[in-house]
Amino acid sequence: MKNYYNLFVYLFICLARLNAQECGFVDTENYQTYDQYHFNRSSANVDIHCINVCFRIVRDNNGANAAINPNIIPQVLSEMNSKFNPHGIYFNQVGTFDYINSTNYNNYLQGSSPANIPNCLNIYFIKNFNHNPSLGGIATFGTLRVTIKGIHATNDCTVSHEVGHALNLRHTFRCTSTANGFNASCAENPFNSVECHIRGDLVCDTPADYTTMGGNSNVNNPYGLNNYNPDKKNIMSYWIGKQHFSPGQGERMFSSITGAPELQSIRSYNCANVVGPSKICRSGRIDSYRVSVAPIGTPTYNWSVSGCLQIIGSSTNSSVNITRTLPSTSNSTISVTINGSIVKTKTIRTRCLFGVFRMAGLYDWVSKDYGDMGLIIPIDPEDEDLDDPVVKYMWEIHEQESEPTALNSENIKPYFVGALPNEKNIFTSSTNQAIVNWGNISKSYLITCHEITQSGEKYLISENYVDVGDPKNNPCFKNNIQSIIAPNPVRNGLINVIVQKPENTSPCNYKDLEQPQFFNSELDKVNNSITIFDYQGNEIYRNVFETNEFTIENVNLISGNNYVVNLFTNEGGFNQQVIIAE
Amino acid sequence: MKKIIILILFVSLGCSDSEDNSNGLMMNKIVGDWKLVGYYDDEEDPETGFNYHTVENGFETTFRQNKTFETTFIPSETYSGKFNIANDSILTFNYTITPSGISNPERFKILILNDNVLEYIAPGAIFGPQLRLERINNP
Repeated sequence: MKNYYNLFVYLFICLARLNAQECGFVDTENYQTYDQYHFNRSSANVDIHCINVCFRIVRDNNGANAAINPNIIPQVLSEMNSKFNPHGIYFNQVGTFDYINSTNYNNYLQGSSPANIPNCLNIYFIKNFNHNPSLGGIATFGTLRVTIKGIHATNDCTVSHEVGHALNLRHTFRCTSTANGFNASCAENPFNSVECHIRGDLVCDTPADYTTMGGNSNVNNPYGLNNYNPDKKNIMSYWIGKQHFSPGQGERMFSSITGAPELQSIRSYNCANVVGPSKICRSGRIDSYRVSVAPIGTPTYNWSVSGCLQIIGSSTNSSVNITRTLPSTSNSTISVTINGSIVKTKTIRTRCLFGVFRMAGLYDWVSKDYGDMGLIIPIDPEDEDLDDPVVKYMWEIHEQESEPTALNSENIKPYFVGALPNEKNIFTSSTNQAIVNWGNISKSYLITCHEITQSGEKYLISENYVDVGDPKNNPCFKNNIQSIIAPNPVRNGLINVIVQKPENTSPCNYKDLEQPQFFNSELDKVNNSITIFDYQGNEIYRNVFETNEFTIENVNLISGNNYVVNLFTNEGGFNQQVIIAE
Repeated sequence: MKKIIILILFVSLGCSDSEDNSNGLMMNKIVGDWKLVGYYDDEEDPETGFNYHTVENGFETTFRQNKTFETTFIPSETYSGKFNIANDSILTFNYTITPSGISNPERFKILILNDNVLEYIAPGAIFGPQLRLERINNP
């Protein structure tokens, strides 16, 4: 047994060294916050582990004095999942619970431990640790047993702390605060964490810690407790008010579950889901689906589909490619049978009101210096997956890498209003709306919008190319602007002009007139620029009119001469007409 | 005469309580030399299946009749000062560390105190450690 223990101490030192680049808090740029890690961890592309747990309630020999009321077990399981799920570890309750009638074990007398239920992490609730009446729980790595004093079952993450031990975590203050004082051979240095993978808790993103609970436990500490900056919310500490594991602790547990022989028997597929898009709205599109739980050994898979779905390629791999056929049905299912017995099914929508949504408010062609443009992603309520609702939208503006734009103080790239300063081309919104400013550079861009669901799945729901350019080159209006100039020949220097613009339903533009509040108010205004040149190219008149019908007065025209009238609209429309002076 | 004796006893006990609130029986029993031999915490020893861990070269503490104590740690740090045990078994230390000169008070709950064993833990510590000291020399 000791050899096994040593072997795995060595194994996890090796695993920790694999992550040595992340060690040590020195480079804070690479350090992920808990929230960042949580988001990445819950992404649809990351495997999870599923652990079987068995809840066991100890009573006295006569069946009395039960350690806990079984009604609190759901609360215990819920707390465990809330603390471990962010790190990809899920718990599957095997059965409900059982009672063990043992007065000795109900008082944790040595030698009274009952046999574990195989293939699950046994969580025992006892009434009292007879020799340690203050103690809340006991556990260690490798025994598949966690023992909790009943009154602490829902107190200050006691169960999660002990389960953390069972999954190979150590105390954050290990070797710094020991019963016999500071242990220099393995204590973590609060000033320099280069050996964080072999010191303290062997995890690099947990700061050096100490505990004040041990009385003389901090003597001989050469660093001074004031120089420590421990994570006092860490579940593997002794501080009151524990809340979370660090990403590094999550990685250590995850790696242990993946590789430690002691933990293989408690792994399970029962928490598994089929992971992939919750809707396939377009025929011909191929989406990939997989099982969320990391493979245990060498499992067999057998995929099948119903409705209007069709498997493309192999149906016996860990993932499967699926497409939609016609005619479509409202819902279809994707099922996988793992190891011939465990069946997991996902129902997806295969008939949607829209395929990939077009962003309302977005033009195919936009004049540079347009200003702010409001965008909306239409939402199909029938597409909402109630089990995994959309929680946010991620908008992105993509620029062709092969044509980088030389930036200077005058060039403004497209950006989202409200985006972070260092990532102005990305915007995350809680609603289906965003405001984009297209800058002042003539170029083509791709604007995309993904919806992100509660579970972290990310689906593309809209992608549109947008050309940004000089207003006079606007291909949408250029050939469609018409003007009537009367009278022609012009009399008495009076020119009456009527500008006829195309409807907004021009195929070159997309505009939902029911959402006018999201359009650029300046653009929507009629704004016509008139210039008049003589036949020698001299500009003899220039003005801007805010209406589509206007009169030009007092133009000094030479009788009998021809003139060219150029009409520009703010949208980029252009029209040219010849007039003659009477 | 009987009333006078009762009165003297009452005054005597009252003065004793108001002075130090000491648990006289435990104060007498703790006097002597002790050595840390192990501790209990929330981590089970995978070899023994128990949550007791032995300590080699544990610190040594001398409790004296005059309510002073001295604890020597390896290699060279000494805690010395006064101690008291209250009626609720709370062991209180007020000490100064040599050579740093830092002064601290500390409180523990005594769980076991007999001729050979002293075990105590910080109040409110639900994961331990519960220190176990054994007597190495009687006064």
